[in-house]
Amino acid sequence: MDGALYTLDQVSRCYDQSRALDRCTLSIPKGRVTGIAGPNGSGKSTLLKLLSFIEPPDEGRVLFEGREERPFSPAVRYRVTLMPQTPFLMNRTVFKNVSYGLNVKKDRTDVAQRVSVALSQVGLDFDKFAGRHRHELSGGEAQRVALAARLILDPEVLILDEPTASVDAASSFLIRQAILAFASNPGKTVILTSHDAAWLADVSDEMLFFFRGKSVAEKMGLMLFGPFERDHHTGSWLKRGEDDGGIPVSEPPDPDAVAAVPERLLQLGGNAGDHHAAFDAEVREVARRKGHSNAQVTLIGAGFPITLSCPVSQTPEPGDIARVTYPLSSLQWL
Amino acid sequence: MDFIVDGFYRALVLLIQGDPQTLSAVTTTLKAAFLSMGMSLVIGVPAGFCLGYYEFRGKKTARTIVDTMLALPTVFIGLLVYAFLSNRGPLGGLGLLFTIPAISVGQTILALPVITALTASTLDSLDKGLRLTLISLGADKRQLFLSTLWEVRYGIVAAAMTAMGRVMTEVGISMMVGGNIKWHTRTITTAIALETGKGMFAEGIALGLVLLAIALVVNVSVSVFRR
Repeated sequence: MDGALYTLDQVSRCYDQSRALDRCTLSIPKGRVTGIAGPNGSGKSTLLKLLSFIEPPDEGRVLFEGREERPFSPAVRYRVTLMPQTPFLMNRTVFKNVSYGLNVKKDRTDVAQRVSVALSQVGLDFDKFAGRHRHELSGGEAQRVALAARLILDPEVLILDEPTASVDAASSFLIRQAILAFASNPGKTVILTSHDAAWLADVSDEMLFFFRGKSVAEKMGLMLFGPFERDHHTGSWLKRGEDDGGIPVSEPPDPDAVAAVPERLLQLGGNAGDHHAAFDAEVREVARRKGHSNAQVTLIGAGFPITLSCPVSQTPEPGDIARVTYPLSSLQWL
Repeated sequence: MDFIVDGFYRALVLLIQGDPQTLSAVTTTLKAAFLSMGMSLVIGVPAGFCLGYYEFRGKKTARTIVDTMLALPTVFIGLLVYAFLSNRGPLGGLGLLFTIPAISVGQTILALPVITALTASTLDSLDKGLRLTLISLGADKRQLFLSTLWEVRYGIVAAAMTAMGRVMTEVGISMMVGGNIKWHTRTITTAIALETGKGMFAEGIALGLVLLAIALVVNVSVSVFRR
């Protein structure tokens, strides 16, 4: 690791009345691929806008190489670029869209050649696509043109917000190839989010997990939103589910708290005890990946989604009812 | 009915022969329109940009005022400009009353809300992804402004066309602050009003046809630009 490229110090960002990022403190290393995971609305996209200096924070500081930078700062303008989740292409040809950043930099050397290279990096043929307008492109092609417009700039930091969301499988493959090729260059930093958790975990050297605008220590496999209720017979607390079943929890600090259990501490099998909670769940999906000793298992327990990983040799089959256990002490209140 | 058909026939003869009075009215109209359009575009496009692009306190009120100004009657503008430019008015010393610049001032007041409101609407409906894209590709504030304007160029051209239509066809301002002085401030529309009053339909129709021809040339030029 070459040290921290970004350091966020107590950063908050608000939109109207809602706090998209809440006193967030973290650092992102240089020359690595950092994946950012979290549910919808957890503040991932807002974080990416701050990291790419599109927006300033309302509170706190965003340090880039140890210096506080702001939008339009010359120190970051040509070094950091963001590709948003929904690509926006300007009302001009593909050629002009891809070369726009070079025009902005007043870099006029070998523009056609560089546009051709950038397009080929995302699997688009220059002769076929350079003269097209945005309405003549499919969603996947538009996304690839947007990526080519970033790659041509040869940035030091490439930030990607869900780069393969809502594109076809072929475009998704080509986009992923282009990102990996870029990341393999020495000194390049990639920061990305993706709905494909397995791929994200695969390509990332580092992972950050977000929930409700805050960075959490690790990936959560079970999240339960309040209100919680106390069982009158046993006196213990639980989150009541759709099927009258429930998931045991420790005593909540407030009625609207969110309970979370790290994925690595959820286990298949075992029994409830003084220190362990247990509940039954139906296996919905098992994802085994080539070269990995663990499989990713998705279950539904009392109507709530659970993800955990377990050795490939012990994976249940979809449709099975499995007992899930976790140490009560591992439950975190967010 | 015959006098209308006859009017069209004589109008064509007047236009083909290059009637000097008709040409004078056309020239005056174009001079006043270009002056007023220049002024209203220089002020109206940045004003509309600010109104449509930025969020600020009082934006809705400002928008309501601009939208209300769209309905300003031309005679009321004429009255106001007359009051300011007449000898007793605060700007009487400039000696602008009954000149082409005076007509342009009035027409600028007429065109300005049109350009401002339509530019603001165009920017209001602009995809928010544009700003994010431009900044992420390295644009500074000036490049952000110019690239955004370029992105909404068709909307601004449409605003200018609408304003041009209002300016070219108004009578009230030209009549009141121009004075309809032959060879000096007589525009196409004031000439049509005068000739019709005198029963000279041919001259009136000829001038009307010129107005239509100008509108056609402008629209065709815009269509070519949009391609």
